[in-house]
Amino acid sequence: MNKFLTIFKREYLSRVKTKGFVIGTILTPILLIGLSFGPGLLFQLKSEKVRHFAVIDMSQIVYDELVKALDDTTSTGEPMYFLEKIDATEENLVTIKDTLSKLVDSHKLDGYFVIPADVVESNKSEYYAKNTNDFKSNIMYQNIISQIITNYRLKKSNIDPQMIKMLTQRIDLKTFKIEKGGKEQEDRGFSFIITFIMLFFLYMALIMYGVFVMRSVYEEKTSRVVEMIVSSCRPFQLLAGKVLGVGAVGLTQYAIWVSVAALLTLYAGSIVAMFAPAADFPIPTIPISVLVYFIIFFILGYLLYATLYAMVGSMVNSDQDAQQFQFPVMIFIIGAFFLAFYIIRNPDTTLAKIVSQIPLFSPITMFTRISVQSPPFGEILLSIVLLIAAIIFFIWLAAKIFRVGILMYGKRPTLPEIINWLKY
Amino acid sequence: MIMEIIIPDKGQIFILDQPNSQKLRDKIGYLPEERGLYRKMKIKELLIFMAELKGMKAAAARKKIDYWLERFDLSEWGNKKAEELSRGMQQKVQFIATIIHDPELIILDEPFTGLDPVNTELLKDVILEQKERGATIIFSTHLMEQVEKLCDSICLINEGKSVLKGNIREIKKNFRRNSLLLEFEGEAKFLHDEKLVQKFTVTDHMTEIYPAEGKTTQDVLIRALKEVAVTKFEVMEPSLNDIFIDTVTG
Repeated sequence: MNKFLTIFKREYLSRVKTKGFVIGTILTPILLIGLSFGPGLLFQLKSEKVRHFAVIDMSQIVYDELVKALDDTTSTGEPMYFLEKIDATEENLVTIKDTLSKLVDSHKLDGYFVIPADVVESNKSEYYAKNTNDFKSNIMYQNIISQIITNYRLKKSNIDPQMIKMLTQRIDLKTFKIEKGGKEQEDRGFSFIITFIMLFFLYMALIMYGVFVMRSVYEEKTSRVVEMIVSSCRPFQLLAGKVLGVGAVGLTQYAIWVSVAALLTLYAGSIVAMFAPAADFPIPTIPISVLVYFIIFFILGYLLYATLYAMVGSMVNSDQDAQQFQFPVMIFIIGAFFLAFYIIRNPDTTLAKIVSQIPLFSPITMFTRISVQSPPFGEILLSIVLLIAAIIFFIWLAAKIFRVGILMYGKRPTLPEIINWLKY
Repeated sequence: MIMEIIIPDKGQIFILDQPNSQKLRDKIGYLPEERGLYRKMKIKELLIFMAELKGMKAAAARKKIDYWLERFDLSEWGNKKAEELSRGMQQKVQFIATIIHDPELIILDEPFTGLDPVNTELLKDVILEQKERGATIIFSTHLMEQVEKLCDSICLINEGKSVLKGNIREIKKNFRRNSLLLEFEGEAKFLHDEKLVQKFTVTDHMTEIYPAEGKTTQDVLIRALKEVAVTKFEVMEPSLNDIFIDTVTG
């Protein structure tokens, strides 16, 4: 027991004390949040750039309305769009377009619109600019011009545009999730996002910490430290110390993240208010039961996969081998992750029920079912029991393979050899 | 097998007169031939870890570690990472890890490889000290001169079988009679007397003579003195090297 603690302590401290751990702990959530919300947020940022446009309006119905519609101002109150009407006829259109294109090319003009005389019938208009990738603006221009033409047509037909707007009003469909006990809670998609984030963390953790264990075993093996260690303790103590030591590192990291997340949730209201004063969305909350199950399935899933990864680490002799041998293990985690997407939409099908009972999948699949739609407690319990049984089996298996594997050098073990090790 | 790295097909192992057990393991220090250190760990922390694995308390270990680091001229490296040390230094650290807990049985597998002459001497001294302390040392090597200098008993292993074992003096005495190394002038008819000389070899101007059954080097020398003018003579003990080669090649 003491020796197990010694190994556990070393494994834990030697990891937590590294710069990598500190940086990883700080960077991972930032990266994750940045990657998931960053592009959207950046896109939301309003461009402050003042734009100069020329409008060749041969229909004579668009320009005035366009000036009215493009009335955005910069934060200092300056108008953001400067429009200039250019008169053209079918005869000199080509020459005028040439001139304007040259102006755009020399950055004296940001772009120009060409509205043909028969725009109402042909439904066609043109926009020329240097940067045509700003599709958010492009769509805005298109909508504005469409609206102008639509309104014009409606007026021509003696229909009040306001009336049309009223008659074609869209209907809002609010979604409510029925929680345990029949409580209702409005859900605007956050339930999905939270399920997804937790799933993603679970998935990442299983792979990341699993690979840590594998590398730790494998490095000890190749640096031959293991010969000195195994002469002082049982291989099983080494295996257990490693798996639990790295696991404790994972828990530490998660504890830090969860407490930061909890603090953020506490103050989330004021933070959101700071960034988006007008936004009124309910702060998503994670039910306590889901959190508890998250921790349970995290720990059990970790034990299962860390044991498998340790086994892989003890069998291989080189990085390439490690890549190859870890693949069969990884495929189960990835498979479970994909199944989770199916389960989010169909948590009640027979397939969902079956895969949430299979130990190699259940840490992810059963957790998904719990988080989208609490399944009967009996099913959860069964999956936990099966999972624990599988963990015990794999620890037994791994201990056998580990003790031989860590001292086997040179060649890669073949399947019959591995089976032979089991008979010891 | 003692360390349970390999498992016996059958039979039982007794160490220090007790059946092999995990507890006994703490009384053994084992320096494997293939050895390594945690590259990223500081030497002192690493040695404390190793000592704790042998059941020592960290405080006691720390004192011993300071002593041994001093002894092996590694004091200023105590807070350096293992990967910064040279191979010889790492080897000394590994040796410290082997004996840090004052084991009763020390098993050393090729402890001298990669050491310079100064450190070889140092290590030899420490090994002999450990012997004085009362530790039993099992020492595996291919270098016969070290065996002659360090060992009391030997066991020659060839192709996994013990071919020769026992006290080193006894073995030398029993292995074969000594030979006589002779430098002389004149015609040595006695060399061809099969009753006296079993065989002889000539190198440069020295002749090594192996006495026949029942004769000693003394007998050969007396006869030689009568026939030729002896300018130099020496009684040769068989070296362990010869014994090794003779035994293995049959």
